[in-house]
Amino acid sequence: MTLSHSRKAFPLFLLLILSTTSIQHAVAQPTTGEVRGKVVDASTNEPLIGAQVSIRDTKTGTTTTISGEYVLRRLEPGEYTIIARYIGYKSLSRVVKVQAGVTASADFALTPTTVQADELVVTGVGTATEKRRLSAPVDAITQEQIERTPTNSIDQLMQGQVAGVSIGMASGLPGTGSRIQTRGVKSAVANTLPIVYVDGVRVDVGDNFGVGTGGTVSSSLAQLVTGEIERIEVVRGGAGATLYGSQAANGVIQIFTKKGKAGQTRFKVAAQTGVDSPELKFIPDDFPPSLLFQNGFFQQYTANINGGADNVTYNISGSARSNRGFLSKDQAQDELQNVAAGVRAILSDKLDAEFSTSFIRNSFGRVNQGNNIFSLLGGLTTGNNFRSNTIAAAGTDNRDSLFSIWQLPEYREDVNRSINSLTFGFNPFKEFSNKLTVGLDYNKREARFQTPIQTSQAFGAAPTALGTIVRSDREFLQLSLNYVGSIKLPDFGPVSNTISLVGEGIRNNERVIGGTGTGLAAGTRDFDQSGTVTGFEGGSGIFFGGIAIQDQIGISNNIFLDLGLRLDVSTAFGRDVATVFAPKVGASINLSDFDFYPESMKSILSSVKLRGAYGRAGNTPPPFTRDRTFGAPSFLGTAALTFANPGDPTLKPEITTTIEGGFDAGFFNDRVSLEFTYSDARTTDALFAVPNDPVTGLGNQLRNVGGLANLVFELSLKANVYQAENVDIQARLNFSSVYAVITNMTDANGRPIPDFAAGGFAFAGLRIAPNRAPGAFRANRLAQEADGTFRGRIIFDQFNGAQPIPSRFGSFSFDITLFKDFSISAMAEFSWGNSVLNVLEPLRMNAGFENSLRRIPGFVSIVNAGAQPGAAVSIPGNFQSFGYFFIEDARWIKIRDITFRYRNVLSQLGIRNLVFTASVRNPIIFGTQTTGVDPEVNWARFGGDIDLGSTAGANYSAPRMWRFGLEYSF
Amino acid sequence: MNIKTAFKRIFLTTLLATTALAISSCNSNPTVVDNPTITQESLVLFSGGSATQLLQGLRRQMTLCVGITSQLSAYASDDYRNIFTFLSANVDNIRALTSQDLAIAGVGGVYFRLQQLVATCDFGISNIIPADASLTAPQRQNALAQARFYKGLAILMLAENHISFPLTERGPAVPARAALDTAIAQFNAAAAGLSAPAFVPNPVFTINFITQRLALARAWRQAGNRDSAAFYAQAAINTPGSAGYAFRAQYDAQNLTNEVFPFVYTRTSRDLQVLPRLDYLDPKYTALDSPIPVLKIEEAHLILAEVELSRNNIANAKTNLRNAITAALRADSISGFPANPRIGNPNSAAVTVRADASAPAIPGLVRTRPGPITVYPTSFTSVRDTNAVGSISLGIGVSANLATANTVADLFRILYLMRQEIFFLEGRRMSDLGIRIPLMQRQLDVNPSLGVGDGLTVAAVPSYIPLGTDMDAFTGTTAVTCAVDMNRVLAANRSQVSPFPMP
Repeated sequence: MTLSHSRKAFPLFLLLILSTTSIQHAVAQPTTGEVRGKVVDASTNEPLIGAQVSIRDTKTGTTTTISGEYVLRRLEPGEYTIIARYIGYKSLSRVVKVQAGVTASADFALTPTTVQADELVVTGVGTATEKRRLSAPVDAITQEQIERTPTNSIDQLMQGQVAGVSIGMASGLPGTGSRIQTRGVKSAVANTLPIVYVDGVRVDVGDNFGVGTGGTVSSSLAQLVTGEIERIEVVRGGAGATLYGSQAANGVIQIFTKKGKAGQTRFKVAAQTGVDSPELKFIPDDFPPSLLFQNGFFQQYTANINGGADNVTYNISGSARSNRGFLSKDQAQDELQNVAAGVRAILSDKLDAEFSTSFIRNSFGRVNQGNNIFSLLGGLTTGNNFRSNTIAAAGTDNRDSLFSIWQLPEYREDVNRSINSLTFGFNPFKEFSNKLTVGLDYNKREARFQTPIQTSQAFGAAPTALGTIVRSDREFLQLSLNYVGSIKLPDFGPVSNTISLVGEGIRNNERVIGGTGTGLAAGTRDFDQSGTVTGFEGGSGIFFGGIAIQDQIGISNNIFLDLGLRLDVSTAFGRDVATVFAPKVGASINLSDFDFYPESMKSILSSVKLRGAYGRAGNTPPPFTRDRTFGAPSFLGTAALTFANPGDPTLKPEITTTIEGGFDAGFFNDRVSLEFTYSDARTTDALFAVPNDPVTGLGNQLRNVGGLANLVFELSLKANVYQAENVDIQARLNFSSVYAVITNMTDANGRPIPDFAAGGFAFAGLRIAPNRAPGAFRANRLAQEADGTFRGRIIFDQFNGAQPIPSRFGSFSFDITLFKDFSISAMAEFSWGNSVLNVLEPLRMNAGFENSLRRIPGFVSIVNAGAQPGAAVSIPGNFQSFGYFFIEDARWIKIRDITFRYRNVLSQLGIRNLVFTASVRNPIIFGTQTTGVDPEVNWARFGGDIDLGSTAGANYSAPRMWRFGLEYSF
Repeated sequence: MNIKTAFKRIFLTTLLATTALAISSCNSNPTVVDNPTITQESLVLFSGGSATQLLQGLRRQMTLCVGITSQLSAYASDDYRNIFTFLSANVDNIRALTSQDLAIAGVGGVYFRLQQLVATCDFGISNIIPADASLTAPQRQNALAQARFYKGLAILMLAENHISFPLTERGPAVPARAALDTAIAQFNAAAAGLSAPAFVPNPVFTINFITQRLALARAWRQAGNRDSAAFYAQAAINTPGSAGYAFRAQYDAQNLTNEVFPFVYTRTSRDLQVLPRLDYLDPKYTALDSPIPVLKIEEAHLILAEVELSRNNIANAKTNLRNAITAALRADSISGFPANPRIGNPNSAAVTVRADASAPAIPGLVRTRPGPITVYPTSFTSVRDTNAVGSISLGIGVSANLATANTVADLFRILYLMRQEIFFLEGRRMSDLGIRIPLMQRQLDVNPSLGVGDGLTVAAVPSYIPLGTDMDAFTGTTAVTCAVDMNRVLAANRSQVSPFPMP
């Protein structure tokens, strides 16, 4: 049996078939012909390098060489539609007749465009689909954009690139991940992170690990370096995410790695060096920065080989990165080694395969930060224990010795991660394609936090135990199997019809194990060589499966309808819940392609597409939340039973239903493009923490009772501002407006559910409360007495209208290319409409900082009221009353990056393809209104679940990353 | 072999390896997950029996209840004032305490912990202990007795600190007096199993007849029943082994540490500061795992004294108080403990303290800190029988003399001073002052029929409690005068203060 006979075989049997068959070699027939041609820029006639040239409805394709030329070989005689595509240009197609033994010619002159209607995307649509057919937006971050961004992590790479997606740093320290919000906040309890696929494989991106260092946790997003990225697609949720089911309410990010291009073997070596210099804007100037910071040396070396024959291409790369980091004593050191390979093979005219693998080793350090009692920056900023003129530590107020003690703790984390993807494509005939992907993401992390002395020494207590080691290991394994089949039915008059079937199964297991040793033996790095040893363990597992069917209908190639249905099962659903359904419906109309569209309009409004969609996606409850569970902590040598999760057998995913509409328009011959989308996303059955009667002794239980709404405007404007032979200026603006609100807070019996916490502190918390933004600030404040004084009486739980989620954000960027080889790009991001709680200010008040005290109305009388007879130091009221005064406007504007690229630096010497780059990331911050805190960099993780940020103080901003690189290809 | 064949083989090998790994790592069925934590099924089905763990859970929960009550009572009362901590700022100014206050609104608060202890006891009594096949009949009896005792103690503590509270899910508010009957019923029901050998992993957990009788005496006193209170107090004293008896909430230095300890030990400015006239009692606890006394024999004498005062029997009351002093001067004091510095409050042995402006200046109540001091981990009192007030006895100043007290009012003041000193940092003073704290807001939210008002949404505070934080106020640095002697105030209002009628 050969594969040519297996046309009717069910795709899932592919594996079996493959293991028993030999694949027919695609031997060149003497009866074939070929097509050759050149792809150029229509305006300048310059060759376009790397343009894609493919034959419609087949897997046959190639890319243009450095001279813009291409060749498609071994084509059976017949008529072919050949399409040439290039990013930033309008695609062109041409019908070519191929005859045996003859070379046909097809040249393409592509015109620049800001409208990406012809761009192919695959995310959320089952099969590769042109953007003009989409009823809901799918954004693509191209290789050019990736090259322009001097960063090494996916989250930073995406900052400012996609309208509707807000990406805020949780910390500037290594190993941490950003807070990503796509179109607001759709859950009151779950993380806002979208799901992420690498080459079709679901990968772990959770903020989920770490030994406590003051609100900072490690994120798996930080180790998603996956070889060389070809492109990233982003779906913001709604109808676009429906095919991804009950975990996709926050959208989907797909990363595609390079698999090489046919042609001669190409080598690329690159070296990058630079400095991470600390951002000192938010650091108080009353101590020398050199105590705490350094300019950390950065170096990175990359080697890459790619090439291949027509039917097998490959891309193999390796890189090593070393960064001493911006904290003194190399405390923020970050080392990374990475090898990756991607291979694409066309095994026959019906069968192809892709394989990608990457292994990452990352080691990094961190320090205590935030209001952690051992946070050095916090201690310095608040002055506690460091100022003799205020309240000093009992044992010592010797600044130097305290400083040294606080610098002793050492945090180290090692991550080993491997992401593997294997995809088989099987097209038994032109209209029927099948794709099966098997994936594996393995992630092993090991953290060690060593404090060589007894920490309370910093407060003058007698050293009773000599040091502590806290160890924690996390092992995560996720296996996934994904099938996408697509069949194009015969056209019925002007109506085309493509049906796709998606099947997905994901299984993951996570285990965390750790130990603590206190009272260490001298010099040990093993936690068991200590006076007291304790251990802990935790684990979870989830299986998630879904099938989806989709029908894409095209009418006259101008109107497109999109119908889909997804069905999910998961072990996270309650026992009484079997499956969950999610439908989607969408339509797009390319108005300007109709005959009635006046030709005269095209010079002004050159293209118009209207689109609208309805879709549902979900958020799965955390594993085992459905079960009634018990805890058994150790107590005096015996496990002591306690109540834990109350359990709910009816638990199911929260469902976000989105109705969205918008238009894509091109102006002035598509030199300017505008995309506008309005979406209304309503989350029903939202998981809210519902209290039990305290009489039952049970705590809160997540139940599907709540409702949230997110109303979002997104606008994306691109323009080819100026184009001439030697000058090309492009500009881009993204802007989004998000209104998020809790719409329903009653239980199944109509009883109101009390507010519950989503982060923050008792004196100023982020709350889930009816008719307010998720995480609305609720704080205590001092009451003013009738005589106008403030005597320490506290008014509790006042909402002041502040919210943690930015309501307006976006980015502005431009790219200038001069004389083809020299380019400058820059991007600025902005965000406003939210607030942060500055937790340093209450501490500074305690330390007697006049400027902090003055922010409280009537602070003099507080001092008087707080003065206790016999007390050596007067203390202004109490902590609990301070929250309200320190909720600060969190607006910011940041220049994210500025990059210069100079290609062909030494072309005069005959050395071509040598590229010099100089860039800086995060160079300038302005427009902030906070006091001594970076409004973007904030923390307060809450139970590893929802993370709205907005608690700031003594966090390290991302450093200014200066980078200089040379890249040579040959 | 051409390159294509080579790749084909690589693909096949990888696919097979991945599939094999997928299958092996998921124990053959990737769609099945096992909850690694404890479920109710696993508890009941566990062949080793779960009663041991359940009882340890009850002990741990009792410790949590005693710890948080001790902490709250310390700064809610005139014992300590809250200088600068993460604890609630309203508790010092007790009239500002509401059901939303962080001291009681959370699951770590007094109310929730006590209700959780009741619920866990019920779960054990009905689900775990009867189902544990590994127990012998006497073990089961004793296990049930322990669970009932802890349930009774939890309800007793609820009744001491609240006006009323529900005892059933979404049920009506039960007045404290009626709840005490439930507590007493639990203590009585426990009696049957107490003759069986103690089913405990460590003798310190043993609940015996002294424990039970002290609990009953405390409950009957709280219920205002003189005869029963006196009966069980006397019965406890008469039970062999009662001399020096104390039942304590135990702590674990690694896993559950004394919640009062950090505030009385770690001396920075951010802490609780003791009222200077009680300085010599601080810190009562010297280590992370110092136990907190819950029921001790001194209480039986104090209850008997209160009953005698109620009967206007001065001589008998004095005898009982004398016995209480003897019992309180325990042999377990720790001398030479290196006290941390005290910042803010008086910190020298040279300081004299007046309980209020009209009281005599007593020397020797304040310790020199830092420096070696004597710590009293169970009980102590500055009241003596023969020494003159102002003299030094056993290293501390005598602040009251039984011999010269001859009125009910004087003796009542001394009785409540002794209760304050003997039960120092044991979670009793707040209740003795007549303060009743609100329920937690969650309770009112899920059960709105409970209503609003004193003891529900806000603290119930007797009018004799001074406004603001005056209970904790004092003036002077070397000659300290406390603003109010709360024991004198209590004596003046004794008919309201005591559960018993007072002459």
